[in-house]
Amino acid sequence: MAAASSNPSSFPAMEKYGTMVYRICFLYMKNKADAEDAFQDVFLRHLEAHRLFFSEEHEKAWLCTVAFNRCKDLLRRSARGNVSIDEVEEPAGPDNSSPRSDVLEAVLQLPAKYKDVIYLHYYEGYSSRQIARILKCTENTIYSQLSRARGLLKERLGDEFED
Amino acid sequence: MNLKIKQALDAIQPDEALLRNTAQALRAQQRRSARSGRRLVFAAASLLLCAGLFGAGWWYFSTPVTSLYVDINPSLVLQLDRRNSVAAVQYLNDDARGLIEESALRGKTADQAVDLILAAASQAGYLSNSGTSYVSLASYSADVPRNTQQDLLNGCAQQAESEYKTVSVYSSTVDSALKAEAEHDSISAGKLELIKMIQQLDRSATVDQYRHSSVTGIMNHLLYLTSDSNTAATDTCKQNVQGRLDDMHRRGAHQETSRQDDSPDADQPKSHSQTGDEGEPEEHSPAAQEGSSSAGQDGQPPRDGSREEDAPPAHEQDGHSAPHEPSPESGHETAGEPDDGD
Repeated sequence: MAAASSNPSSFPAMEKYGTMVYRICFLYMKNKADAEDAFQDVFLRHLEAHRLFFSEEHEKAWLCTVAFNRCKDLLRRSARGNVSIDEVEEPAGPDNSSPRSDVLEAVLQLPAKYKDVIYLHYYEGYSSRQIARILKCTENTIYSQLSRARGLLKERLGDEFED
Repeated sequence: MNLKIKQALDAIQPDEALLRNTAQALRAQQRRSARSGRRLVFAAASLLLCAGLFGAGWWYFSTPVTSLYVDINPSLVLQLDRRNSVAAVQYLNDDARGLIEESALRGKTADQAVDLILAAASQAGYLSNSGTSYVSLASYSADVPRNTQQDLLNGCAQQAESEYKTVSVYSSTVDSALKAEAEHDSISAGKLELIKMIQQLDRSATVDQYRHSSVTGIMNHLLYLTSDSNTAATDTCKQNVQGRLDDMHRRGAHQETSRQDDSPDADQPKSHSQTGDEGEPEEHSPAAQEGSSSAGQDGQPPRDGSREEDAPPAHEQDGHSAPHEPSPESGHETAGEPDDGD
């Protein structure tokens, strides 16, 4: 009974998008413990929202948005003050469970607002228009954020980064 | 670069334990939600129950349970709810329809409504300024005890008689049989009861003869029929009818005593329930009647109903010289010669 109740497959959204959500959480929180907290929060919200999604894409985009916002909230809270998310110094707690690649480290070091666009564009393959819709901002903002994020990555990775 | 970033991020994977723990947390949350959902359902059900009870209470108190028949000549029925407020009005003739709007009576208490009707009737000339104007109040209810109905009638009658010195109210509670008969004959139950009393003393009288008569006309004829001047009816019948009339006006008679003390001028209308007992033949005598006129002097408006009650057709047609309308002076004086008793 306990096994049945703790079976992730009884929550299809978690089974389908769990990895994506965890990845977003880890990108923001940069350590396993905080990422796991954020991960659970996101799926609790999903459970309590009782939302009807008209497509899988819709559900995925909703989870992405909730994960971004939840992580930003947690970071703000950990900073214990009403400061802008970009001013918050993200926790750089040691996570020695696995060695990180230079690219991952460079991505993790990006400011929060650039992580969104880098993840959605390079990993999930969303277009600028789709990203603008998910993050509720203009397409031009996404273009400029992508451009700045690329510049920062190039700065950090040097020749390794080729657009 | 796409590939490099993808490969780098691919390395981020959630533990199985995390997925298991999260599933457990979600399951626990579901159970809590179900419990709070049940609480919500219970609260909603309680709310519905309260609303239902309130609705039932409102329905219980606002549904008409008593029919109050008000007859002057304008005849109408006030449908009263359990708080004795007027829930609906039913007009029984055109005179009533033109007398007062239903909206003016709705929501008023029974005594207020009767007061308004009498005020309108007075203004329209249905009530005499000098002679006695009789008003009949009759109630029927399948749900309200007769005592309670009688209290209601007494309250209305007292209010009316204290407000209008020339008004004399006869009230009664009617049973379902009389109500059904009245509905069948399309007449007010209160008026029908008075007509039935006439029929006890005058077997030739029909409902149609008095259908359009005013209560004043009917009462004057009744008072004549119960008087000693009428020799056609037996004393027993007269006593029965007189007793019934006394019952209908007993409250008025009680009040009359105090009224006489207060204003001696206002005693005339209240004497009717007693005249039968005391037997004052001179009031009903042909000599007295000769000095009175039937129509135009009794304060009745020149309406069809009033005119018809001034001279009931049967008396004119079949040679009965039954009394008609009272003169202002005699109270229940009659214009016709009661020679059918000869």
